[in-house]
Amino acid sequence: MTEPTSSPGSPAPQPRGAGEPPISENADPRLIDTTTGQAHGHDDCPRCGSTEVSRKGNTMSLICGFCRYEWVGMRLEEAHGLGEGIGDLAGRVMTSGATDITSADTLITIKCTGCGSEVVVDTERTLEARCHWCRSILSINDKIPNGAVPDGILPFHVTKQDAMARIGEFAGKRTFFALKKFREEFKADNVLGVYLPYMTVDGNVNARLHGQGEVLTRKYTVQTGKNSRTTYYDADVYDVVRDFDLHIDDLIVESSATRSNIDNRSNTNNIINSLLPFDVKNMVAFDSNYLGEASAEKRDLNIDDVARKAHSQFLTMARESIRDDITGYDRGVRWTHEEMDVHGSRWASLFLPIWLYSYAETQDDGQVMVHYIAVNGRHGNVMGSVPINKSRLWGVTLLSTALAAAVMWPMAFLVTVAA
Amino acid sequence: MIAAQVQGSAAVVLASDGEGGAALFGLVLFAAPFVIGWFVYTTLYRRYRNQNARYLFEHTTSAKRSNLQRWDTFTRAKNRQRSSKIDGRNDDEPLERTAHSVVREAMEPRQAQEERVAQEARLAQEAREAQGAREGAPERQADAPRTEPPTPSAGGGQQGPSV
Repeated sequence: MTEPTSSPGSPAPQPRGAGEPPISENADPRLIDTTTGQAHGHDDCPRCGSTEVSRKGNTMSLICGFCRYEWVGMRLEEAHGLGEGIGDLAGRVMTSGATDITSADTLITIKCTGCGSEVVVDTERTLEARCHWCRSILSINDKIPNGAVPDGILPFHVTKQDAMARIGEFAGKRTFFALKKFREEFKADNVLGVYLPYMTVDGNVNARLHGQGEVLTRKYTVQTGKNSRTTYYDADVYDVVRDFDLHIDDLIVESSATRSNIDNRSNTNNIINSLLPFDVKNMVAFDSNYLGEASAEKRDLNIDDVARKAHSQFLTMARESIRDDITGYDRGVRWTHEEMDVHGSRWASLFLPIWLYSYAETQDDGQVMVHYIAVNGRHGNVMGSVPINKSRLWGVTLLSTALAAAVMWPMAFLVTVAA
Repeated sequence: MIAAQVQGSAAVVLASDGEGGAALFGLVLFAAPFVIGWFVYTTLYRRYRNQNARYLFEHTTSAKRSNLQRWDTFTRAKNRQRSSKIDGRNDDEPLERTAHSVVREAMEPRQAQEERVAQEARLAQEAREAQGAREGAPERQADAPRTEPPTPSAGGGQQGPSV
């Protein structure tokens, strides 16, 4: 590895964002400061100052194309203890990337530190731009109040070729009933890498469930007619109450209004939702060099907007977590009351990597339905929605119904006549 | 699967003798093709559209349970029920919310909570002390009964502060 070099007169380069959180005097106990202290603009190698920085393959490392210096972004979980102390959480705690969006401006103007010209970055779509005068790459490197920069990022691990192969295999298994136009136009090459905004939330909660449970005491069958019997069940009924604490670690919720609107009648956002979870424990502090050629979608929901959904999911997890304790009620439990006190929660924002193939289908009523086939950019599981050729599907359905009828209806006739 | 269900139904019906059983079996055979058609349609539609795919957060998210307290109180025996499950069973459907579902969130950090609790305790103590002081003070003499009605100039009975 080469020694760091610096030109005379320039400040000595300091490795940034490589293992140490910035020191800040943050007096607000509700805020975890995850700012990296980097200035917007040149996002250069901490050793030689070159802007030719890129990811090293599929690893978490960044590498300088000039001096080959390698470094890894700060791991947020370790640096800020995001996976610890869930039982001590009180009130709503958030990282600086998850604070409320206070600006609707998506265009950010950066002064190029290479040549002094001003470059506009449209943060709605990207967090990088190349200076059209000196060709330097300029980046949005730290939090801005429009929600474009998260605390952390999980870089892609699945390559585009791998994603294309997985999407091709998925679609290839679903060709017979696929829309003819989709079959003709499908090209896995059109897959795009995109970072979607999410929030992780830890919860320190107390749940109290109340209901009735029944234990079977006797099961017996009695003759109720000449040819009929009825089975009866005797049971003991109990009032059941369970009160417990639950420490929830890294529940993931969508923080994009578009993606969080899951309605199977009008969109296929459930496909992207089904790719969760990700290995968020491995997320590193946001660095726009991780983005590469992938686009990024800006967060447009605040914690207040997603808290209700998260709390409902906390309740679901509480209900799920108590199931192993009520197995003695062999006739089941009917919960009638559920209450939850969220003593504390901790929120962080992050980008998660997804390979996305989309196809817009114009339906009979003129509405456009966008179908997604998506690949989790970390562990590669794939899920998708393929537009259906309904006439072919109905044809096969009617054919199978007719075949079954051809076999069974004569039997039905014979049985009835014989009787 | 459908064929197995049909065979199972047929076996049950054939087990019972008589015209009623045969008629029921004929009805099952008549309806079976429609059931098969419905099954074919929904299975293929689901395979292509995956509308039921979702994030299984309740299984994949880490959640540690602690301080579990249980209350199980026998209320009564309920006999001769026709169903093998309790009415309205929902312990296996955690996504469904109950009729009474409440979530309360503490918005303030622990320091503020502790300060508020301490302040409430302080105010309660002050109130108790004030109550004790009032109880320790000699009883006030009852006002002498009025002999004259209040004058209209007194503002409808309200006395303003004396200057």
